Amino acid sequence: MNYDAIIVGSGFGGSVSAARLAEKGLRVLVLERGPWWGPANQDKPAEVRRAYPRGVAGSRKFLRNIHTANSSRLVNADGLFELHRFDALTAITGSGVGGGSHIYTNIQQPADDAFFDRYFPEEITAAEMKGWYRKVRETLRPSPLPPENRPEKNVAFEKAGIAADLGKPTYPDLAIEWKGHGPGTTNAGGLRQQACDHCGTCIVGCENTAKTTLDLTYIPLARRHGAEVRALAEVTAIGETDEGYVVRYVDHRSGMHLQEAAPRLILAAGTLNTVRLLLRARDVQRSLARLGPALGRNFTPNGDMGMAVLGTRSVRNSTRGAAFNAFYRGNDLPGQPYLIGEVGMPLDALPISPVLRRLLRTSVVFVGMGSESRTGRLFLVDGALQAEASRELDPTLYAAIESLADAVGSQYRPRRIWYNWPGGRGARALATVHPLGGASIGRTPEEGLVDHRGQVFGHRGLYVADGALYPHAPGVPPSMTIAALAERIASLME
Amino acid sequence: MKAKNMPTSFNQAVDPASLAMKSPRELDELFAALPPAQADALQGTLHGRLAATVGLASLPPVIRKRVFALTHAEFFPWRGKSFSGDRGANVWVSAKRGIRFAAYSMRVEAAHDRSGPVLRLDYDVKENLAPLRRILGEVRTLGPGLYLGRMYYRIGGRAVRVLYFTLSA
Repeated sequence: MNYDAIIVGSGFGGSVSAARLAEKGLRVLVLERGPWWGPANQDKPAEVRRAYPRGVAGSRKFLRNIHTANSSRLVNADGLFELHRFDALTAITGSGVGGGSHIYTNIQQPADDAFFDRYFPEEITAAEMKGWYRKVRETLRPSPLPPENRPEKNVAFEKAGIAADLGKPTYPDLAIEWKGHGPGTTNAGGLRQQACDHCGTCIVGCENTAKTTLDLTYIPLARRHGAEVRALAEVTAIGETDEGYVVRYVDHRSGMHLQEAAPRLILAAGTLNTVRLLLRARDVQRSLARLGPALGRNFTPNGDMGMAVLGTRSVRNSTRGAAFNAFYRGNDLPGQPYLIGEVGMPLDALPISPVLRRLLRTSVVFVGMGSESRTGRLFLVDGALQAEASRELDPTLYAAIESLADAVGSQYRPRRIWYNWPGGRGARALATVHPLGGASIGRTPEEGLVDHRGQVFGHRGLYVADGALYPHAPGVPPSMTIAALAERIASLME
Repeated sequence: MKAKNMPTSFNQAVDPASLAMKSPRELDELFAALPPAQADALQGTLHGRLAATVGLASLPPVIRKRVFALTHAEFFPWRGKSFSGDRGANVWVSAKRGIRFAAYSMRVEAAHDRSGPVLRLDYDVKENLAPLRRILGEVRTLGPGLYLGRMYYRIGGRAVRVLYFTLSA
């Protein structure tokens, strides 16, 4: 065998796994369905690197594929966003070397201590997780928005919160290089990043390398220790052998289907793609027919809800400044954290008309998230992934998020607040950018698909190391916890 | 790597278009190295693609590629095979609601060329017309949910290899 470990995906789970396993001396292969993105990867071969999509000219590269219950349509293998459309849930995720780090809002927020005590096996405690969070922090070096760089939209957000008797917001750590690297200094990946220019395009890819994405940190660490990263290589099937696992993937450059094998297989393709691969291996391809009954359970959209505050009178240009740099938490639902933050819109990067762009400059976007009291599930219908998740998971929580958004949003004196975009206030259908769970950690095979080490019960060498691990919604941005759990899994891996 | 029910070699393309570019000898060598398909894994309807047919191997690669592109087009009627227990049939026109025609029974037996065990598809079943009963299929596992098969036609006391195909779940 050519490799000791194959890692499917290179987001917060895959890139951390790749770096730490390569550091241990393992021969690591990373298969990533998307390309290398942005100006930081100009040294990569032209056929596997792409510029971030911008404006009308780059609009072809915004969308990668659309998955629905009836079809799966690949629009562009080198698109940035994936759209998953289920019965009552729309999920938007990212694609590329570095995974969701290219499109997330930079927040590095640990889950609450109580989250681990309540939902995880006893081996994983809040105290123990602090060490893994520290490792992530050492690599991504996040810090809050500097007060001297507060953009207009942030000032308005804080003012609205104070007017609503919520006090000052929380300023979370953001994985952004605020000052830039001068001569002789680098980030943890050994690269130089530019200082943030506050352009506000964080969620469609950062063009000046200020965003501390994983292709600037963990991935270079992995490659320095010998890991091989194959971009535009989409895994379509996985199976078991006597000595490990085999994967089949499409090389999107040539269209050829190829296979690789290794004694360890780490699935980190993003929650929906990881669970789809596992469900198809168990139920369609029958190549992992012994996978347990917990597969697909404990799925959650993390209480996500988008709200547009349209035509405000307090913001003239909502495009400037890092996305989601502050948030307000709700604390009236015991054991169920929830929050709302202001994201802004990267209007100058989107393929929209100048008139619409001008109209939307005075509008802002709130994103809410929270920990629902129940979880849903993922399953297959005629071989296609379907999700059972809607407002019915926790109507009280979603109403509370809408109320919190209302309290803050109304202080902007907007023309209109569009709650729960795109369904509308009270609508059953939701949209999420944080699909989590479905291959969750549990104490037993009945409770979860994987044990506390991330290893699938009854499948030595098969691991899950992405958002699918979550046994419940954390109610906060999940990326840092995914990375911390991946640090833990790689450390314990034999 | 000794495999449970998976192939033993990994450094080659396994899509039908790539397989179509191989010579009959290369396909025979690949087929000989594969483990037999497991009947319990081969259940339901599997998508089928032609990978090679007798006579076409001598054509220039460019023409061969075009011919196989036609067999992969929407209008090509063969959609694959359906399996249920130890029986099965070919699926035509539509994968979901298509016509089931040309049935077979299945069992693991020695390959016709003595290259080890295969899952044999025997078309000598009573519901088939007499000419179809002369067909013999062999299926081995090419990867997870992916199978390589070949068909023989029995003439007198001998069997002539006619084509290779893939099946995918």
